[in-house]
Amino acid sequence: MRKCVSMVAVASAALGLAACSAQDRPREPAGAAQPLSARAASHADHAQGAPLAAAPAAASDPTGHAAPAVPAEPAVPAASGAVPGQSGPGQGARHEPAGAVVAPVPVLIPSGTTDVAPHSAHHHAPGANGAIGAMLPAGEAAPALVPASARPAPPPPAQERQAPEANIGYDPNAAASAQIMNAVAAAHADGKGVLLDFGANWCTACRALDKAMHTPKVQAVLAQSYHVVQVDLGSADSQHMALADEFAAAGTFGMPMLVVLNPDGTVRANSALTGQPKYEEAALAAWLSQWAPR
Amino acid sequence: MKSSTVLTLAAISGVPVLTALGFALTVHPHARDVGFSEQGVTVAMHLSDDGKHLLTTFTPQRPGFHLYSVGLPADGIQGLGRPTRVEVAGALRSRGPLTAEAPVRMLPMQGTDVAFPVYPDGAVTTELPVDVDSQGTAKVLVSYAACSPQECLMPVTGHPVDLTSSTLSAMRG
Repeated sequence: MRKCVSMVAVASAALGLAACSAQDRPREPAGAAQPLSARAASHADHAQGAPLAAAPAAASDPTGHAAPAVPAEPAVPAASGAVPGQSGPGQGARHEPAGAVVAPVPVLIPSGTTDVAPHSAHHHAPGANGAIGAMLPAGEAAPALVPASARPAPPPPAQERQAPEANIGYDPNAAASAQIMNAVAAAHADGKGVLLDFGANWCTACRALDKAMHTPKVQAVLAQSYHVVQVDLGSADSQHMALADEFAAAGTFGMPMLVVLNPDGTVRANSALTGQPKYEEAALAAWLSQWAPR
Repeated sequence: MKSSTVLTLAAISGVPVLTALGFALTVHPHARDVGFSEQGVTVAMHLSDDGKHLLTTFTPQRPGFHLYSVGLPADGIQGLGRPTRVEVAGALRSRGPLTAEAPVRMLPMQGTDVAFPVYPDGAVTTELPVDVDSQGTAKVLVSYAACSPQECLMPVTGHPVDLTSSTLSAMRG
């Protein structure tokens, strides 16, 4: 964890305190193809891509997605809560072939000894109707960040089989910094904590967490003790990635990453360090209760 | 799981040790491998001895992680999951679909009745039939996402591996 965390700067901005600025992180260098000489380097080393990188993408971002250089989000957003210049999904210049859309369907691929790829590929464009993002315009009052009582009940399994659920709540268009700032301000006022949920709509583990988050016990803990902000990492948005990188080194953390902030904006718990909770009702409720500020 | 553990379990369970040894060897680097490591997965590729197949081995660096099937739709199932892909251009031309040597298993997702086609935890090798031009350069685009039941690492989409003619020659041995 960095000593000078810009998230604290965000919190400080919300609380009217002095802020420290985020540090720039070196980008993955380009290189020529070369034979692999070793395979046993540490995970962290591999994640940086340096020792064994054959030909990293030019101007690739920490996720490995090629993307144009985008100025880092200011550590302290504007007082209005708006985040200027926030990019939408699909703006990164990915090295990805175009192709026809394959209709998402429930399990249709039989198990076997060999499987066959479809003939075409299609770039995934995540939806933009995330629950929290939809409920919370940038700059809105912090109490709106509490999703516990406002979350709709999950659809029955039969419905789920029929209708694809392309979105589980991570909004690629959300002004995450503003949402976090508002949540910290609300937490400072009411003594609750802030739960940051970094994930992506394509992420199966994130879906499992989402299911658990909608269970009654977990909803009760969330309503009692947390302001929740979901941050989308599925669109490789550089600003959202920069937020995640404040809590774990790029390329080393998995999704979902749950971070609990104290009412003053300091980090109370981080699943990248403490380990992931189990995504079932009792275990997740216990984890949230364990780390709740009150 | 470590190779030694595999061998021990194989011996205890009566599975022929040579079979387990063969499994363990699949995760060892090939002398002609070219590749990279990103987002918790080491990718190593080489051409078969006859130069007719591009073999790409994906090895998650942490235990308990799997890759999705090459047969998964590009947008996954209900938007979830990301397929393993190897695509070629330039001096490498595909002659057929990408296949994998590992068996696909259906992984149920917690709290739902949806299951995903994934490979067993650990390394998986894909095979792409190719033609190789003796001259010119090639580009290989690699895509994958590694997940465990508890977390997913960032997906890698279209990671380019540029191969010169000399590199292609060396990959074939």
